[in-house]
Amino acid sequence: MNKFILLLLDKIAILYKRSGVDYEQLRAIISVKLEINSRKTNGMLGQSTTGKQTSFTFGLVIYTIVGLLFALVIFFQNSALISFALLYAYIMVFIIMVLITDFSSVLLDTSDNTIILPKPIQDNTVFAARNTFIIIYISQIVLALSAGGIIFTFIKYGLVSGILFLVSLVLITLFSTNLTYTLYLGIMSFTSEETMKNTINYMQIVMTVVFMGSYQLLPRLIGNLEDVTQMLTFEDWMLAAPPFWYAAIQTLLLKQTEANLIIVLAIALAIVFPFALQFGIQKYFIPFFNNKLQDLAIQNKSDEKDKIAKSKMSFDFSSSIKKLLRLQLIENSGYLLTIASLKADRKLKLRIYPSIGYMAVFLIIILLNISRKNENWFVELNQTYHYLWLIYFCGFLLNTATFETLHSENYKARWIYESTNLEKPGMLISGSFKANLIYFFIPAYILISILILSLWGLKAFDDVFLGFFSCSLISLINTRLNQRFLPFSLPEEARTNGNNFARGLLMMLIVGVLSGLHYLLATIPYGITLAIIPFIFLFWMMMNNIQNMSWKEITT
Amino acid sequence: MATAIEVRQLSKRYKEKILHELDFSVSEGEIIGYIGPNGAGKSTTIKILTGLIPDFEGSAIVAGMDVRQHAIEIKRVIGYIPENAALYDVLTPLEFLEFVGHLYGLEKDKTILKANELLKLFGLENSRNDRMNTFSKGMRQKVLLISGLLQNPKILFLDEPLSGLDANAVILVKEVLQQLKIAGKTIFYSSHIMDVVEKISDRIMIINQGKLIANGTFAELNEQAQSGSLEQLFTNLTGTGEHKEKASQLIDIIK
Repeated sequence: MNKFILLLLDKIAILYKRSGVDYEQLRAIISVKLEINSRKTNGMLGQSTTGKQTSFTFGLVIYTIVGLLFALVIFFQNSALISFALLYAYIMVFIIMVLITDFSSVLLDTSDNTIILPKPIQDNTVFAARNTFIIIYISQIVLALSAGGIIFTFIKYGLVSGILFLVSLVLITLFSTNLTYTLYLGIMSFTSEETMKNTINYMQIVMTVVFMGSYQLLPRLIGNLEDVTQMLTFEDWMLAAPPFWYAAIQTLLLKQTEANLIIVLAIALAIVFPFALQFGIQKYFIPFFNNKLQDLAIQNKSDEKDKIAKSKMSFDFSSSIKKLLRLQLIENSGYLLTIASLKADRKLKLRIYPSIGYMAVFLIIILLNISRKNENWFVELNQTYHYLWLIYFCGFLLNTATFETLHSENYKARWIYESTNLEKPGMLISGSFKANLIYFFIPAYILISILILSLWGLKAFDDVFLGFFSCSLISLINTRLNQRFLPFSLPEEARTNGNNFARGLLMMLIVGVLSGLHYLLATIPYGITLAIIPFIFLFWMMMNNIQNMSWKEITT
Repeated sequence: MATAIEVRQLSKRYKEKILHELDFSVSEGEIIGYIGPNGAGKSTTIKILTGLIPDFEGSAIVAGMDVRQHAIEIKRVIGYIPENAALYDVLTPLEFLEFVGHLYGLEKDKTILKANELLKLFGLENSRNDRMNTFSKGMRQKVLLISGLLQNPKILFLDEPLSGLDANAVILVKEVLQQLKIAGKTIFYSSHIMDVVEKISDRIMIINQGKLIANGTFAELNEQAQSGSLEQLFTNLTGTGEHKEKASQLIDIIK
């Protein structure tokens, strides 16, 4: 595949040479980057370890499936304006998100600079190489995403429309790529690298949720598309929304609208804007970009100092919460380590935070399912026990957090546990558990409780109260039986370990037993109220048991 | 002897000034030991001279060319080994060196031949087809050194080149530097390993808090400061000479 891409690149070498790029150098960089990429794991979808190229291929298959689902809009919606605008919007958002997530490392990689920039290579060659590499990658994703759209357009609207779709795709890719560059430029001009990386981190979290959400929700929503308001004419406001510019081309071709000034303007924007952005980038961006990266690499050191100062302040704040938890000395170490990582480790955030978004998606799915079955669903909602799903799904957040805080890139730092004379290493586990509870679970649980109480009323109060201890208990039992590891002591690869399947089954069993028990108790008068005290007692007992775990009971 | 590097009133500012009006010149064929405490400005100076930081005050001429205007031409005739440099570590050393050769516009066959010989010289011939992510720090440093020598540079800038190397490799690098000097190369390098700097440098420059505080042969500097060793001279000049007291304090603290 890499050879094929390089062969294609050779065909357009003349274009590079004419724009002053040293093609031989560019080819060498692209060749190496493609090789590296094929030996590395895929970023956005991938948590895969050894599959290397297969994880990227797997990603493409998923993109194709999701793209196919979305492309159904072309069949279900007869307004070309609406169907194409929706499809283009989806592709655009996806491209921008992929660029922000996977390629932030390429765009902002200062370590790469220490290899390439000391060599006799012009800035425009470095930039063209970065750009080309990104476009090669994006093109594969765009093709996968829009495969369904291409097929359906050819089938439903014919050859010319299909070809126009392909041309629009090229323009959309160029537009989205250049827009992202400009966004980067803007953010980099006004902010530090830390803020930039944090912004990207949150975008990555949103992206993961959007991806998972669209995968779950699209098939459910697609059936309702016929009900979408029929917008057949091109309105003035659509000029502000780029997907409509490209949809306008198809609309005009299919004679679903008359040619007027607005339509012509939209089509002109669709063609001119990507190139105008390209011109702006060439003129202002390239000279600025590498210098800025070099500066960022140095400025980063002083930003680190600020960061440490800030984190010290926040530790003072959390000390008041710690008092409530009655943390013991060693437990405190586990607590502080986990809190510090939850605050600062972007990769950890990326693994944990999306589960909050999944919860929102899950809530929408529940409400969609209920609303489909019954027209008076909202009135009759408070007679159901559906909130139990939400409570136990929220418990899933705590399990995710306790599982993820076992893993770290720097897992070898576990030597510090082993080199000290800890008698009860379980204290570290309980400290880490409390950190997850305080920093992650309780805020999410309070939100979900407010939602449950507002939808189901005060009758759910006991359940919410019991649910908190039940969810915590699930995590504690799971930790005791299933995850007897010290915090951050496992390598990243251990996440995909074969044993995790068996662990997952056991975990589901624990969730099944406790949530089933909760449901049964809910059907018995005063069952929940009476169960609260025993659940608190069990929680306390489990916590004590974990605190007293010895080295023999810890899996190393 | 012709001048290889000439620096006049060189200053650099980020949030605060980190280099203060540096003035020095280096003749062709000289080995310069550029030393200073952590954060003194050594790496920044080297980055400016290698054309990596174009935004600075004053002037810097390398190989007869202005760094601001001819960075690319300068990069063609210099070799640079940065401190903590990255490697594409999923590549093998041979693949990496071939890539570096491409960037210098070297012929592929010659690059591979030369890379193989250099890898052999540094004891990496059996690892030449292994991915570098399995390499130790010292092995990676050797690959970096080779990448800096591959294009036969006139001037070599080395930022902590001995970091992570084992004793044999350190001796080898010392020898290589001496041989390069005999071959007429100019070497500008920073290091914390004082005895190596003392032994192989023609001239030593000491920078502290962005200011050049000493510049001369070891004998000249020693005569001025009556220090006995470069280590002693360094601690005297950079104001970090209270090691004994600090060590005693440490013992008191940990008691």
